[in-house]
Amino acid sequence: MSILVSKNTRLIVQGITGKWGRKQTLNMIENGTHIVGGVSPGRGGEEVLGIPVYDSMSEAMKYHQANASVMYIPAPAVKEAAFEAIENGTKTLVIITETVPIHDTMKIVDMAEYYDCWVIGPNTPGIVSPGEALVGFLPAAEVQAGGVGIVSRSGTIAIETIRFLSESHVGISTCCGIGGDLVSGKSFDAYLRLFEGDEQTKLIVLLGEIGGGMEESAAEYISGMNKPVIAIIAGRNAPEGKRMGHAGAIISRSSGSAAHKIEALRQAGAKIAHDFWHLIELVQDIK
Amino acid sequence: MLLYEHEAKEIFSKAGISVPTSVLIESPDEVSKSVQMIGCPLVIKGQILKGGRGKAGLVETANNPIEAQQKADAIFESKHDYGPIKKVLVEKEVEGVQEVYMGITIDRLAKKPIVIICAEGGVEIEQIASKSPEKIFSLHVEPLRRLRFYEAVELSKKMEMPKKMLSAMASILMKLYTIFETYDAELVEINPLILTQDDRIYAVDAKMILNDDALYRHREFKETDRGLNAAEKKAKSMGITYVDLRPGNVAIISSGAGYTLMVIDLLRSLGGKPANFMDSIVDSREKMQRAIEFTIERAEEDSYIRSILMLKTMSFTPLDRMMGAIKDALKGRKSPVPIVSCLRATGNAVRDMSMKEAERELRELGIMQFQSLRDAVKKAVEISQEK
Repeated sequence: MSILVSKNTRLIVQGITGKWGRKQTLNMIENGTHIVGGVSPGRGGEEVLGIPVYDSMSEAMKYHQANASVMYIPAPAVKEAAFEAIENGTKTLVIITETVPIHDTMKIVDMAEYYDCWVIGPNTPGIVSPGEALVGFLPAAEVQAGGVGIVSRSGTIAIETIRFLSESHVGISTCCGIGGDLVSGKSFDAYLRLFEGDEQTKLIVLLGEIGGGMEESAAEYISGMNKPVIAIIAGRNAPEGKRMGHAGAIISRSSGSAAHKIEALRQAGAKIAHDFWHLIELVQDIK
Repeated sequence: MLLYEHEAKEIFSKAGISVPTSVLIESPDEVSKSVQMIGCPLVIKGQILKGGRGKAGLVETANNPIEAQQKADAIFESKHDYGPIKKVLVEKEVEGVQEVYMGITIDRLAKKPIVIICAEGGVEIEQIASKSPEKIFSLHVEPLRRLRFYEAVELSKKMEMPKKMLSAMASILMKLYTIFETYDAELVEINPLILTQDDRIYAVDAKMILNDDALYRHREFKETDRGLNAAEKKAKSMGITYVDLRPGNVAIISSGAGYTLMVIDLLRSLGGKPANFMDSIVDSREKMQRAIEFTIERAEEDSYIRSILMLKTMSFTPLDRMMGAIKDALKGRKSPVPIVSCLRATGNAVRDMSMKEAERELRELGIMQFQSLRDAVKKAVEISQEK
């Protein structure tokens, strides 16, 4: 899916000098991502794995015309770093960090919409287009390029799904963790729209879970889609009122149950897989 | 994190939203003094973190000091499954001529705050939303722009209050929005907001839910593990997110919230009963060790638990580190129930130890290891169902 990340991605790593940023940068380079620079206030002039570090996004952008940025930055500093990336022209922003305060996320998304920046996350393992680019830490090495697009709220379900598909020799066009919090940069339907318009993608796997109404909203878009969608909804057995890990995974009295989502998706024409093995069966049926 | 009514009211009051005069007491001995300070009629309200207080007899009116003492005594002595009532709010009763609803929460799909008002207060908003949604008015707020006074006035008109109160209502709405933003709230709610005979407005009930992820910047709030039971509190203090699902017969050690949800779904579909949900960033040896020790302790004290399912997928975290943690956790102690594992390691994780070596060590520890998640879950369920 070249629109979000591809061979044309010119990536900046915000927080590159931290332990986390450094390790992940190495992994991304090993998977073919074109990283042009890093930003870490006060560390400008240094180098990490041969990549030049700058004090600010504006400097980095001046020298490199990057089009994407990935953030390995602690939660309290995310908002300002995101504002910096967006106001300095980043078009795709991947916020890996978990536990970003929800009000900060809403402000980031507000600004991103204004500047036409696509925010992936927060709380995501990132996005991968096998053979083209990896932004984040999704398992890329094991994956072949192919026609299945994956979009997921949960990072760990995305990772597991990639593994299952790889083991069954099913190739992937792009897998994206959209974010596991109450609010993510973009909702499922935005990604579905991109997949629908992407030549490489023939089939979409939607990995949803309890909490919120994003799957129901996606169902509306799915009913008008040409490409097939298979969905897994995690949390059929989660109790009401208890937050299951992610900020976003909670069933309230009025909404968010797996049953409701499954029904909406089914009505829209999506196939429902009840576990990873069933998913493989359905994918192979459609092929 | 849900705040107690009295905590929310203190915040409202500090921000300039009037609340009824009150005294917070912690024992029945303090009642008579508070009655002297406030005067009757008054309302005695048990401070709990659940709804349905009225039905549970935790909100009682008193018309004289003797009644006040009796009602307070009853509330302090009342028994509940979440424990005893520790705090009671003694509040002046406010009589109103009109009651409305005012709330602000997060519209997840719109990715913005949403201000909600209703001319009918004192009723559960969700009930009105299902029966007469046309009575509810709302407005999305651009997070960076915030709420404008003229927008608050527009909305306040829908509350059908006397025209002279319009400005005052709009001011309260503005203050509520400031509270919502400043405290990083997921919800702020006044239900009911009451207009009295002499044109005064009071927040008679107050609800606030703070965003857990922002609590680090609101350290004035104590008891951040409120609403958790003893086991969950203990796990939290160790850095483990643990949701108690007892009674259950398969205890789960896992990381990754979504993945664990899938495992629980799988467990149930195979006839098993999960004892818990767990999500912890288990990348350090100590954390893994603690998670295992904690689960073994749970199995020791809970006879329902018949097997432990230990799951870990590693691509960065070294396998030898996890194996070290497992060995340390089981050093000198035996698990009261069989442990079934599904440990998988690839890439960088198997740099210093191969999966074969790990499998050998697991066998030596008496742990049944499977490469397939489904096989591991099946085995754990099978064991849990053995007589």
